[in-house]
Amino acid sequence: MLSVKRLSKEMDGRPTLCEVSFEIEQGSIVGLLGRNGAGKTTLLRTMTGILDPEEGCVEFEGKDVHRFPEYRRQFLYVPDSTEVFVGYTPDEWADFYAAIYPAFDKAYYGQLMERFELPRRKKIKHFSKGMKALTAMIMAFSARVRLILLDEPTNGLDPIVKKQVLAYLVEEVADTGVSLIISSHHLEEIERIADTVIWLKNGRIEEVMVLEQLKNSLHKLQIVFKDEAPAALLEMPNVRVISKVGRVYTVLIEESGTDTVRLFEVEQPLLLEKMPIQLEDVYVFKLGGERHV
Amino acid sequence: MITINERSTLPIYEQIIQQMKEAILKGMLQGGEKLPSVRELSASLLVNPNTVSKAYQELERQGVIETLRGKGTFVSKRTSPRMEQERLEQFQMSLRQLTVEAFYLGISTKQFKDWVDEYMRELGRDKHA
Repeated sequence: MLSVKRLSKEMDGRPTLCEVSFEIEQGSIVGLLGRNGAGKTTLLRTMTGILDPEEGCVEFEGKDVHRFPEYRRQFLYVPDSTEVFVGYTPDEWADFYAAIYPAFDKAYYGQLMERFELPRRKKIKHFSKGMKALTAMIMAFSARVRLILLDEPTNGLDPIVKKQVLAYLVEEVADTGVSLIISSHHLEEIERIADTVIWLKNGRIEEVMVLEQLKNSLHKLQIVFKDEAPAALLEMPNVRVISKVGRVYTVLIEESGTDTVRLFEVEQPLLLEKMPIQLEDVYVFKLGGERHV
Repeated sequence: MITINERSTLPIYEQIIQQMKEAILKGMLQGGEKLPSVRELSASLLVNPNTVSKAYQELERQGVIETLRGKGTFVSKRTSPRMEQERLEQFQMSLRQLTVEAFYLGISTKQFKDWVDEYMRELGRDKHA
């Protein structure tokens, strides 16, 4: 449906995106992950046409959206703050969107505002953070576009509103087959709702991963060796020691079979236990280990 | 009814399949009972709708559930032999765990077998034992 092709973008003379390419299918939820400054927001803003790329293009069903702006009506960007609309009421915001997006569904907008008990004639600036986030999403889904790009949609929300927002996103995808790109560094949220994850690092795509395959391509082991730990094994290119507490090693192994895991078993360690893989482990494995985001 | 365990080594769709079957085995879900829609289940579990529909498709393929067009998804009325198989496997697993415990308690194989014979007799099975 949407293809990003070798997209490059400089910001303030500094390369922020570097030959980024990927595709998004209909009804898919793509998680865009990366540390602060990795280029997530720049990528979303370039895809939506707010920024022009230096190189490459974004195609919606084969049409370059920077050359044919009318195709941008098929998708919508929800920034991480609603500052632009603080002076408006939701009804005014809806009128504004209805003028831009031909398929804007006013009846649906009304239903959703009622369902989430949001006032339609109060200025957005008097809304709480959670109300603002929900309103922005309601606007986006009422526009009946095919793809919605959400920049950190759950940032700063309390756990209950966060759950409400995520459940609502999932419902919309199930109902209408809309596609979503969600940028985040909240790994545990993305892990459950996304089907694909794109990892950005220093403006480049580090990895595109289909989450279901994840649990088969990475293994996490807890190992205690009888004597010295076999350095040759721990230094293999597809092995990474993520922690060592006393004599207990926790290692990540990247492979589709279990050949390397077997090598560890051959050493006859005192303990060798398989641990569940979390998205966070992949984060550590792929993005260099630094944990502070 | 279903809780996704993030610490599990099983992918989410397999967890849904397993727990759905378990709920049916335990009688929490009965033949002919209506199941939540893909939309409802994915929203309540906060998981991707495609994951839920993949689990439903697999359950349907195995004859555990069936979809009636325009009406929804239901637990199959007929009990399929495949589910019996699973119950057997589950039993075998529990027995294995018990055996491990017996070993560490120093219970001999003979004692263990005697007990099994005794309980079987109490139930009126295996009269010739």
